[in-house]
Amino acid sequence: MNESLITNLSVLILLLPAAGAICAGALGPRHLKGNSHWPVIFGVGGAALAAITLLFQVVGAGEDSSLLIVLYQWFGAGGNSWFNVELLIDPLTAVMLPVVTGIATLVVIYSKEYMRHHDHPERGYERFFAFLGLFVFSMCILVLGGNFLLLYLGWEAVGLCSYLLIGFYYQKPSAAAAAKKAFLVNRIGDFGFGLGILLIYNTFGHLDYATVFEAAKLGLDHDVEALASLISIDVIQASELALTISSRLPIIALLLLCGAVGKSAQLPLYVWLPDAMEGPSPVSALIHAATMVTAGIYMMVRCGVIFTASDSVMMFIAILGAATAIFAATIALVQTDMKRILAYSTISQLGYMFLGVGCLAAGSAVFHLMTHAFFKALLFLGAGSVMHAMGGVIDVRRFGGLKRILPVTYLTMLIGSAALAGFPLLAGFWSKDEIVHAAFNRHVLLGVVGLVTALLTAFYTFRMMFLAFWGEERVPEGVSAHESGKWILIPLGTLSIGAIFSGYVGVHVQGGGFLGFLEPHGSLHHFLEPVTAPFAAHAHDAHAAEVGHGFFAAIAHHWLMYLSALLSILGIAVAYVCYVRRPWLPQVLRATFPQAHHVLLNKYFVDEFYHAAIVSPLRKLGRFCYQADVFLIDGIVWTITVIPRMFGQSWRTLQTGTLQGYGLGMAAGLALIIVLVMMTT
Amino acid sequence: MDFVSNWILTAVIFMPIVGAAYVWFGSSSRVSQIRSNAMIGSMLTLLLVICAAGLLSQGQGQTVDGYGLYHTSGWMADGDNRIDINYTLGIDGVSVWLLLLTGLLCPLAIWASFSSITNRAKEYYCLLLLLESGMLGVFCSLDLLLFYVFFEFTLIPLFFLIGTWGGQERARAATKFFLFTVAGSVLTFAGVLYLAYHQYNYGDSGVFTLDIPTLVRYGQSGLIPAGVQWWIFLGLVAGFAVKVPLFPVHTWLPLAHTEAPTAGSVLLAGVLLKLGTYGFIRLALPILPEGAEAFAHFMAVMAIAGVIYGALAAWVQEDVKKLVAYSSVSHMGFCVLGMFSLKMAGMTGSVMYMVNHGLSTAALFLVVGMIYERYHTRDMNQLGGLAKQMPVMAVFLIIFTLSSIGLPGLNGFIGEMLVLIGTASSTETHDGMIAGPLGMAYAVPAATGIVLGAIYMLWMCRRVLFGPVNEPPGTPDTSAGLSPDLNGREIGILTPIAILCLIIGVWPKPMIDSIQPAIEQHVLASRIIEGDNNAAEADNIIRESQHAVGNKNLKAAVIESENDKLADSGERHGY
Repeated sequence: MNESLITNLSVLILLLPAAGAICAGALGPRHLKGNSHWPVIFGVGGAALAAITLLFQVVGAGEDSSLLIVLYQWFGAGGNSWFNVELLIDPLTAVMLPVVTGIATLVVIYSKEYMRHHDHPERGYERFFAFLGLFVFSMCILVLGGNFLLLYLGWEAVGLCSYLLIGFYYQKPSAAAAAKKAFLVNRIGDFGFGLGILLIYNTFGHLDYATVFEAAKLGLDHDVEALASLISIDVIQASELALTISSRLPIIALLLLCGAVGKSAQLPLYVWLPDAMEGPSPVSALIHAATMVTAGIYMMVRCGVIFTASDSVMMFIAILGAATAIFAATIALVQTDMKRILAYSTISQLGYMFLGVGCLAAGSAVFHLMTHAFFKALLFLGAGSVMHAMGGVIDVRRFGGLKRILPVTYLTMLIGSAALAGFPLLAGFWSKDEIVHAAFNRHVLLGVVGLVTALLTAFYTFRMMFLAFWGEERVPEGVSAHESGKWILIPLGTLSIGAIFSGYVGVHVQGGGFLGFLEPHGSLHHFLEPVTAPFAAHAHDAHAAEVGHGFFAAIAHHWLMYLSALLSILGIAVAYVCYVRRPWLPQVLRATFPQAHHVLLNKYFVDEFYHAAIVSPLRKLGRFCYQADVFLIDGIVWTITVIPRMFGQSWRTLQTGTLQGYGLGMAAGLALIIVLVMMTT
Repeated sequence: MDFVSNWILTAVIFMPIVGAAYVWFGSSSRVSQIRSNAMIGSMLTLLLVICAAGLLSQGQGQTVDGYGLYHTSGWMADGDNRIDINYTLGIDGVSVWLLLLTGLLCPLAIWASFSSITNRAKEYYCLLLLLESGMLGVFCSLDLLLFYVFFEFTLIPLFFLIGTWGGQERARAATKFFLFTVAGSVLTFAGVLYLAYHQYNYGDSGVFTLDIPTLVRYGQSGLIPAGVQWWIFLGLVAGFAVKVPLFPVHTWLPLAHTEAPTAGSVLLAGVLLKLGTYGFIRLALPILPEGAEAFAHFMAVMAIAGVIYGALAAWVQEDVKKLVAYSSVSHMGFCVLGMFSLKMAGMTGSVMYMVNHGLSTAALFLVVGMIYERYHTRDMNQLGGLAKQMPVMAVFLIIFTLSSIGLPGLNGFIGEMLVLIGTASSTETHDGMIAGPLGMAYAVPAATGIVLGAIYMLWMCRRVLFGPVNEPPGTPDTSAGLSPDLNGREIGILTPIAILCLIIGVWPKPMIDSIQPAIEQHVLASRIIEGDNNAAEADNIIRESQHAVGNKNLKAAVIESENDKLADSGERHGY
């Protein structure tokens, strides 16, 4: 592996988007104005090219495919322990980077047209592109960082960009509120994440991945001597440390999980993601579907050693993922805002990825992360295109039958929806099926939840499609709808190619498998093996045993694949019946179960619950603190100052200034002294 | 060159006084001339501070006990040399950063007053410069009496600044500020006298001295019994805790901040609060190691209470300035927490935190002042959507907010993370130091401060910057020659701070490289687990003390006490 080339490439991946962002931000307001997209397109596009080159380099490197690049010393905790700014290049990074930068490039190109009205750039055009560039830079740090502090840096920085971009239309109160909510809910998760990092430092005295993971592995294996030499302590200390490690790793894992739950919008911290749709559509596509929200999954896969140390933690992750997947899918059934439907769908799909990680199928989770990035970005960009054409309206009740007005958007979104619904042979089918399979291996119930969610997914996705594109042609009043221009359609087309074919990097052609020749666990999984090894070590490698013979044996063996293919088609068919053939059916359902509909429409009242249970008590506590300041503490201080004042007051009455009084006092005092002297002698 | 390095600290301290004299006697009554003279005075001081920092990093001049640019001359003595109080100056890797902070913030505060101060300008700028002198003096002093004189001297100019140029309740605010601080300082002085008296009676020097290095050596030698250490510690802490301000003696701060003029708030939050934490690091912790360890739990609980309490109280404020003031209570809690971890990480974090809080909070007060000058209100119910009206201001406010809530990549993060690392790993020994008193149990509640910090700061941003535009009628008021958005002068004030926030966040290594050796030598020397290099270290200490005292008997005594110390700590900790 060509180290200097890889070093240059990875530094380039970081610097190009940052340079683009700085250019757009600094030169945009005065000089570039409507051309502010160019530096960012070049910066992010250049990073994408570099990332692809990097991927090929790492693929070509074969077994020895991990490289640590130390850029400089950042800060230290005393002694010789420094936290470095260091980059780690390994298969996981190499896969994540092209996904992030590639989709970002398409989104930036798309935004060039999207962020304009009648070819005039919107207010804040340069700000938008500067933030996008900054986001790509931050996300690349998150993915490239070689220690937990850089991970945390990237983690917070993408959160910041998300905050700034959700609040892009800051004059809209709902957008400002959504931005704040996103940042805060994430911070709650990051609270645990930060504590996890502290506990890692406490335990190991280091924060770089290599040392921590190696030490954790040695500690779990109770390889005391190797551990002692790794972090230069003596053997007795090392044997104590080994015990500490095995008892602490589950706690660390749970703390880190808090961060992942916040960032990847899982129960119970998912509430920020639907509101985040207040941001412009390209932002939803890039940040809140394809890249940032998957950081939690990236982190869990990266820290496989820590997470797999405890089986119950893994089970917890699986249950959490499954619960989120089905919970969000039920909410998506009744929403009418196209972007919110997609947001709940994202939460649900992220739940699948959690399920995959929890079921020890880390490779499949990353696979789903990748395919999902393509088709969900496509769907959000498509929704943006619809919104663009509808003059900002995104409620599916206010338009319909758009397939003739927006033919290209329709076609690409159809591909995206089919991929999301898990339609056979499209991207989502392969990756989702693997996760469901792993879930069945883990526990039947998890698998069943996975399958039911797949059915719901197919239904709500096509409900959205049928409501928006089929039926009678309706557009909001005063809108002259038209298909978007090429800057929007080219990214859509590119992404739909990805939505069709990206599944095949995780599939290999061989006897058995789906339709007799497509076997899951393809080259992607093989490539990721160095990273996912801790998971594999714990998994009962069920897939290895499954080499079918002949077409029917394969069907019997791969019944699950056929079942999920069937469920996907069934979901689409039910949606077709409900929203195209018999449009009165949903109304009847709604009238029959008004409570259920009400609960779903209001998203199970989770936001209201949080407000009543957390936000307002805290505010009350804050008011109490302030009142305590004003009355209690200052009251005590005032009371203390009263004492000398009273002292002074009481003595002041004696200072009357009349000679008679003083004379009397002197005489009385003298008499008293004489009496005392006489009595003592 | 030796002459320069001998006198540069004196020049640093007295340059602002010279400037004040020039403003007072050398200016006409034209405000523009007065303020430019004041500006020149403070800029020259900044130049001198930078020179001093440069000389220190070059190792120029006399270095005694690890204090660079050392200078001493007699101040008070009696006939037979029983009293030995000197004019001793010197700085190390900790104080140099606080000097630089002071040197930077003063010209900015003066510059920020250009548009807002028109009446009695001469007095105003003189007082600001005198205040600067006092603050610089505290950070340069190596004699406790000198330290105390400067420490108290800062009160007077600030008292008049708040009382004369403040808001509606300025008289009450000034009085409250003065009384709280003086009440604390009296106890501090009692502690100082007790300490000096103890050293005089039981120490080896045989003179009544207030020389800080001597007292530190005496304190570290273990000659002060634990019971006495506790009392001295409580005395010293009383004054410092009010200054910091530590919960629950913080109530003077919000009032003082809301009533003070912008420059007063900037210097109060930026530098004056650090006098308290600096006192901890320079005096209380090194001189009274056992007292510090005994009270560490108590101090940490108070600090954490302050973190949470300050944050919650900040959240319910309607006045932006009061919100920032309460945020200071919260942040300074972090700063105190870090040092009582008695770990290199926490200690470094505390010092970083002092500088970072000084930058970001001062900048927040500057921005709030700029808003106030235009809208004549700081009530968040009357302000809203200012991002549209003042986009440049919005950029700065967001940068400083992010710095204040510890976003990684900006300066606040480094200090915060080190404080938390120090606190959490206080009980561990893998950093080569003996286990400290705190631990994960303290880090967890302290870390909630990070979440709460984000809550109230973003709450403030959302209300002030975002949403529909909301302005009081008749505003923005541009009658004082202001533009609706920030003008060049105001951008010039905020830009250096913003750049520093970014540089310190990305590349804090120079600061850490200078802070850590200083702390290792001056604060945590007794907590390092002795390894192979302790002989070399002892040599080092002896060589330096030779330099310092130059008295053969004393030298022997010092060597003895050092050996005692080594033996003692070896015994105590079983290494």
